[in-house]
Amino acid sequence: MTRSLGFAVVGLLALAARPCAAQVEPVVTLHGADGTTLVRVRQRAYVTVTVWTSLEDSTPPSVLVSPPAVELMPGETQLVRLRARTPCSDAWRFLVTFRPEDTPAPTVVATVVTRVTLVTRFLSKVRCAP
Amino acid sequence: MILQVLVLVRLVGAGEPAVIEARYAADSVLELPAAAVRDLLGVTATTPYVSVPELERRYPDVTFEWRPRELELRITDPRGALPASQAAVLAAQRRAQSVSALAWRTISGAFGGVTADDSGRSAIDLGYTWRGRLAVQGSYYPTARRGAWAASAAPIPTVNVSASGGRGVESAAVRVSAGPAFAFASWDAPGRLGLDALATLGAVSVFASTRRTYVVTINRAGLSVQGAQGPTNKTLRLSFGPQSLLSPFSVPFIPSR
Repeated sequence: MTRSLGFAVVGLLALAARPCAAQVEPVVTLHGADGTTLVRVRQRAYVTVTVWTSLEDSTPPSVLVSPPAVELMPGETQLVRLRARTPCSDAWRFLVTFRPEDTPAPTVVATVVTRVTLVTRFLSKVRCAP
Repeated sequence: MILQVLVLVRLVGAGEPAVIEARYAADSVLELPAAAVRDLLGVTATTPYVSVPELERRYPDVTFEWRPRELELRITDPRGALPASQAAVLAAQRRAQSVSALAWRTISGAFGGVTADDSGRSAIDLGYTWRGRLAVQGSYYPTARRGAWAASAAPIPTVNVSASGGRGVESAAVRVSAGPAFAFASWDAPGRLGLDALATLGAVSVFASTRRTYVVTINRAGLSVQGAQGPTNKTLRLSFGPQSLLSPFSVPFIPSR
């Protein structure tokens, strides 16, 4: 019963959510200390970028991420540069979080309004190359 | 809040682009580290960081285009106002002086030609070049009933060796171009040796030759000055204009009549 209820909730949320409208490269390659990757959106979104030490450790290693945050308009692509200040590790993970623009609040409130904001997060692998 | 940003700085037509650690100041102005500005553009600054608007004020003829989506600062300098642009032009002149005509053929293969004039003289040329590193050419002049040959080799990009002659070696030359220096040594059959040398430091170039020729050239954006001592004359030239760079290899020439 509990499991069925859980599936139902997830299913409703999936129906209510907009289709995923962002694109991130699955692998980010660092040549020596430097690397680049692209982030694309189809809808307006606020994007934050960071690096994790590993899948289990969200502590950011000493890596300069540029830009760490940016607001993208529909259809825009942003180049992201990375520069590692410590030796590169294949355990690192590249994390991109998309937060869609806030929908405007209704002007006439006649009843209780529930808003679901879906924040999408992508984890990409980091590959270290000479 | 100051934000570090990795920017690709590209000076169009001069040098290799480089990724540098710039920063966004609190007023969202892009600032470049002074060391990178000196290395890439040849511009010196007294502060640790130089803002793009400040560079625009110092060099109004230069276009600084900031592309935030590509994290690229594209710099276009059509008038050669930046020291790095001038240095690139002078370096290209030195490279051009260091190769013979044969070495311009960079694709391997045979080449040749036939020439004739209305007096009945003709010439036939045939040669072979290998990747711009080695080239040989033979010529035959049917009217004069004699032939000639030429060969050129560039074992490394900065060195070029050439020789030419008829029945034997009649002339030979070696050109070396490395960074701010250039040297050219020549020999011909009567046994005459010649040596030309050039050294460049910043905007100043000094050229000297065993042909009793000395040239000092100062090339600046908008104004260039050249003084020369030839075998018979001393000459001074002032050149102004948007692209006023003078070749440091040649003596200014004034026809006598």
